[in-house]
Amino acid sequence: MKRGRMGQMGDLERAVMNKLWATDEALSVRQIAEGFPDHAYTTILTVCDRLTKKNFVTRRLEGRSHVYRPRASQEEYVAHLMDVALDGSSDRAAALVRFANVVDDDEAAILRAALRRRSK
Amino acid sequence: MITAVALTGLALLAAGPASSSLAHGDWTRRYPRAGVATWFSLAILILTSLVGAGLSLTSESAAPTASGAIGSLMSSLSGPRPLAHLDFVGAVGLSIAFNVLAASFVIVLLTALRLRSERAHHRRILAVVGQHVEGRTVLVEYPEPLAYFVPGHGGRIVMSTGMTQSFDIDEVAAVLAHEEGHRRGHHSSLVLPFHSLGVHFRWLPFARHASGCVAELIEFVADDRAIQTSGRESLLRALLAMVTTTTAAPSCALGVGGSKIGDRIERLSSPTPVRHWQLTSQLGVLGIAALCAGVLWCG
Repeated sequence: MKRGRMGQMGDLERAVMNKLWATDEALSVRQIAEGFPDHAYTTILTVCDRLTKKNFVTRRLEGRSHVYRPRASQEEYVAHLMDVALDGSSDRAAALVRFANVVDDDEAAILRAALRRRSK
Repeated sequence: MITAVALTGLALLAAGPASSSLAHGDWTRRYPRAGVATWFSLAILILTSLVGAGLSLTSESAAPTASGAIGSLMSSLSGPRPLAHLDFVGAVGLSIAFNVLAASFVIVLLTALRLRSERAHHRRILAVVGQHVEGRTVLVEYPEPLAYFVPGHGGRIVMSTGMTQSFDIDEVAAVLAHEEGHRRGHHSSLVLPFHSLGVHFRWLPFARHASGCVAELIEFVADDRAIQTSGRESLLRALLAMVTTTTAAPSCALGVGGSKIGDRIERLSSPTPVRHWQLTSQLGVLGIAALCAGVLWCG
């Protein structure tokens, strides 16, 4: 039960982030909630609060309501993940298990040559 | 003193010639699981020998064996004035035994905590930028073909759109089966002690050999699992596709100890029966375990 709720929360967080990434402006909870007619205003408020605590968005008081803006673009977040995943030389990458290390051009050429010999 | 010298000699033998011949041996490539088990046994043998050597110094006169030393140490600890009878050599011995045990425990624990927090950080971002495909698989928009597994609670298999677009369905299935092999086999936990050793004791040849070899053998184990579900040919094609489609900067190419993808392709290209590993591994582990037991009980 708890797991299901958490899963739903994760989906909603992703959806809210996608909405924030789609625009250049900072959005208020009301503006965000317009995109989610199936969810209560308070649910969206909770999601925004969670995203703020997780450091994905910044919150700023504008007039009488808070507006939210992503800390970094989606591409920047992906680039950060892939940097860690691709960097086989850093100990940081030890947290992940890569399918295969990246090879340089020389090594790739040697491997291709070896394979051509084999297939002949 | 003779016991301590003999046990230290045994530890050196295990850390030196034994680990070197294991690292250069060819049989581990055919029986990777047995290889991992043997590395574990060697590590435990070294640990027990060093601790045994320290303990045997604490009460050499009272009990000339390591097991006797543990007994007399326990009785002196529970006595009215613990450790009062220890002379200088005994105190050094006890400190060696304690420090070796504590250091091993602490470095593994510290590494585990650090990796856990890095994985949690990675998963948190993944939850927001990734697209859940099914089960544990997450798709990330990225042009390079790339797949990896983020271990831990709620572990995720990550695949880039670069891979799903340039690999055919059998190759993608083989990659997923390989990563699933890592997950099911709890490979991250198996690698952890050796990885911690490799990070903290890089200057020790044993630590370097062990961490490099175990990491490579684990890939072979996952490859063998992928072969069982997806077939040798699909996995081989996937590995080759990695070689031919990846265009990463040279800085990324220089992994720890170079890339092992060539070894994996070579291994998959030469058909060897992946059988009877259980017997080999059990025999090897039994042999070294008997040695460990001998160290503790016969001094």
